[in-house]
Amino acid sequence: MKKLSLPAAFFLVVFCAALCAQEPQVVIVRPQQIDDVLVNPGIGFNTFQRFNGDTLNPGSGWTEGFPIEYQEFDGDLTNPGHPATSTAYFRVYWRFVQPEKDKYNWDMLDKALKTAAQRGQTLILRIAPYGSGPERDVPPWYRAIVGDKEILESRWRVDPEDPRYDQYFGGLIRAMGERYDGHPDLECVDVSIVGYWGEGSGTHLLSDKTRKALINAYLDSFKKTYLIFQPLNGDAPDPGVLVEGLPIAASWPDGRTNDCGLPLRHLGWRMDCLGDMGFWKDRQPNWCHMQDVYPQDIIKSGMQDAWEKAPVTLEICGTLRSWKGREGYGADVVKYIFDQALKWHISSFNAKSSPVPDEYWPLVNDWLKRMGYRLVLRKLTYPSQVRPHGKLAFTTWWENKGVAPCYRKFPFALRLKNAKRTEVLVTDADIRSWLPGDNLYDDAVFLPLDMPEGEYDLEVAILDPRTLKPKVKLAIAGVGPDGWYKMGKITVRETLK
Amino acid sequence: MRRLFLFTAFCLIACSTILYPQDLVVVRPQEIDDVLVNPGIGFNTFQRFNGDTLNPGEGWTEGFPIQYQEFDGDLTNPNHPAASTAYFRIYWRYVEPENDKYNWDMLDKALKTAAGRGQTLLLRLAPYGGGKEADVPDWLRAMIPEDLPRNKWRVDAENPLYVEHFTDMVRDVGARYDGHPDLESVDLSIVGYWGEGAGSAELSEKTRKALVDSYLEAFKKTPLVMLLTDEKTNKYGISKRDLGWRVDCLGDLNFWAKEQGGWTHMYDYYPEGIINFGMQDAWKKAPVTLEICGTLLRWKNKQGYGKEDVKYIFDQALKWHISSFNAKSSPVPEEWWPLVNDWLRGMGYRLVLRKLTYPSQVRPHGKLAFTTWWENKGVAPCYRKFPFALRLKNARRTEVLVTDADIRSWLPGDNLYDDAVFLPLDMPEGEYDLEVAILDPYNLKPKVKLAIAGVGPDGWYKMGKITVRETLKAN
Repeated sequence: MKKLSLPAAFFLVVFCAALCAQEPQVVIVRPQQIDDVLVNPGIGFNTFQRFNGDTLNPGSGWTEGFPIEYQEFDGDLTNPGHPATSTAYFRVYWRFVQPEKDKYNWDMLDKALKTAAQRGQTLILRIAPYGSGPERDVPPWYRAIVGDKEILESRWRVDPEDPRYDQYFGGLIRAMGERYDGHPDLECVDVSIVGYWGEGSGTHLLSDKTRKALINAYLDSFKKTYLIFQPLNGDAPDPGVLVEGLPIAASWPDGRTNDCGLPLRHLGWRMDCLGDMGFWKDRQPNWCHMQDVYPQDIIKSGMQDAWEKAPVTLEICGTLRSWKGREGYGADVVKYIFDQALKWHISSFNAKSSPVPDEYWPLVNDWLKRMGYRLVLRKLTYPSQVRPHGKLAFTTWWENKGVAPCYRKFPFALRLKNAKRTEVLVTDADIRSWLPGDNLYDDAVFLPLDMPEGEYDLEVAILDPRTLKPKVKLAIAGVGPDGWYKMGKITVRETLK
Repeated sequence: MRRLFLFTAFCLIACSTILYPQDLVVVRPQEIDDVLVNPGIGFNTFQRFNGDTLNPGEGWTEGFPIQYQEFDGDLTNPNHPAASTAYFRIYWRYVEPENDKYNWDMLDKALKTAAGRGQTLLLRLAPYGGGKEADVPDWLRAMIPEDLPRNKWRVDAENPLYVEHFTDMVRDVGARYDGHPDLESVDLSIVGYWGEGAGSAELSEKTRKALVDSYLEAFKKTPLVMLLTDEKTNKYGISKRDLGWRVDCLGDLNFWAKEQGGWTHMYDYYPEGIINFGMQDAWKKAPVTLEICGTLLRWKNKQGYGKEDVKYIFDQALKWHISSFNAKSSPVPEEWWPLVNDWLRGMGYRLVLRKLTYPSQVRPHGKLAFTTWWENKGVAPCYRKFPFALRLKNARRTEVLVTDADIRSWLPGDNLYDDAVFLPLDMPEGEYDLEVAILDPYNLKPKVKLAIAGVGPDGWYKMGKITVRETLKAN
């Protein structure tokens, strides 16, 4: 019995060698995972009123709301003391965007977008109606129209119920949408309607009509660019009322959804004061954002599942320096804060362009490896041989090791490359559906009729949709100088006699 | 008065590009009347390709492997319209000559030849036809003895062996070809002579679902076209997916009327079947493709149709939203050419860009907002999502800017598509030609011809000039 099986096994090998030379095999690739921090579109730290390569805010302070003071750029994109970033956050007061009633300062926004693009960043934008203090008022021409009146809420500077507020502030938002909606370098826009710094204080006090009009100014004007909702201002007894009657997707644990009969828009959300474990404990003992605002308002506002379709972007309370200095946070507290943000599915983080204390760096790097998406191609299978005009069927197993999907439909493509021919074959994949955890994408591309026979390198990449050049870095080894990831060899051979 | 009128008329013709004071350029392209050969629509060649000779006389063959003709490089079809589609109908026995062993070369070659002749392939895998040489595969016949439970069947479709082996074949074909860019559509053919579906209505629910589902599972990207057979089968299919439909015998005004108590396809089967079987609105999402009754020569010689009959038939087909037509690669009688050409202008989609507006100047990195008014003068949409794009071109730079348009939604009549593209950061300043085209998604070259003048040698349509100029001050 044993003697018989040996020749049989030998025969099988010889037989296969003869036959299998002709028959395509399935090639199985298991790419090697890497542990690097990856700088990828739309995720990670933001620069704030600054760009990659600029100097940071000195000390523990920062400025916001004013036009960017552009720094001399020496060609070096690194940010000493701060992670490299793919996004720049620009927050500017209405008065600077519309200095006169009939005059917009588009140059200011054009330049911010242009500079971001030149520094390898996309722009996150908020136009705040006003801040606190006289130099942060509404535009002087608008102040002249409405005068000084008593205001219902302490963090309002003008009465939003005055129809001229929607006419002029809403008008600015509409004009801005007209000019910038869908700009490939505009990452997202904050829905900022009332309150100091546009943070939304007192939104729950607005009449239905005014609330809808102001929010609709954004919904109607930005249909392609993501909008970031700030329903979570911490002062609304029921933040769920903010989406009522508006076509904004929201859902609550008791099964209620915000269905107003219109096709729903998926908005992201943001909130200030990530890391407040007791900043104001002297005034408000036993109350802080991390324990008393975030968990409650995320659920109550109906935004708990929003991250599946649109980004969550959070802003630091103070700066990392003040965490270390004034607040005295140790590594355990910082880790707690970062982990909570991951639980809330953070994609990007505004640390106010303030430096990372040395001892926090390992935690920051770990955090950056989880923020947003982190795509690991775990397995790829493809045929060792394919004919011109024939089908290249592949299977892929992707692990998204981040806490959110990628919100842009960057195309996933294969490339066949040798000295004679380079052919990019774009798949139908919608990478926006690759949520954290395992994802399978099995599909096929077809080779062109005129594909020359020969041996090729098979490569994969996730591309910029306009240039079809690699855009998203994968957490695997094997990247080439042009950003494509080499998977293996593939032979193109005509089988048709 | 007369002078004023003349001047106005002149201006309408000559000043098709008008510069408005707000620097909005308004373009009203000039419509053309040409017959256009466009992807997926018009006449099919049948068991043949562009450039091949036609079937002689009034006859035709089908179901057998294609007899390839010598190709001399001339793609014209004498006496037959140029075709963007080739229809191949083949019996199962030739596709799977041995159990689980396929003649892929046959299908590969048909697809390749179609692509080489500027065509995509419509495919039907018919289980069998009439006559011995059109039986089910011999290996299946050896398993199932000949029994004919009903007219136009060769095996009992309720026999589990038929269902098992036929659906296996469909799945294997789907695994190899689903989504092939040169595979236009596949007929959802399940039973009956020539795979035409005779007896579909009598199938048990289990068998019907098994047979239909095999196609739905095998072909998820390539459009499927159902035979218009019966309420149960058609309604089941279309409840699962957007499916097109087809049926034989377009033009039957009197073929068998005498023997069948006056019953005809044109006056009875089409109008009743389309509505009763739930397929009346199917054309909005998937193609209608019709096959001639007999041949055009037979219409003329044996049935004695005059021009008014032909026009009636063609008009009815337009009413049913026909996209493509199988005339069985048989010639068009000379006196019917004007009718055929008129018909070709109405079949499927015919896109006229009636109006385009765009800004005369745009900055690098800036927004190029445009509005478009399209008139689809055909009777159906285009079922493929070919990208609509703008192009800025001058001696230094050529930039293709693909829009988000889904042209599949451009139904007959008026369509508006207003959107914007953004210029790249590094777009050089200067004057450019602004052009438009509907592209092949694989190579981003023009694919769909528009019914307007102004096409360039590379297939793009020139709209006007546009200036790229930076308005942002250096500091």
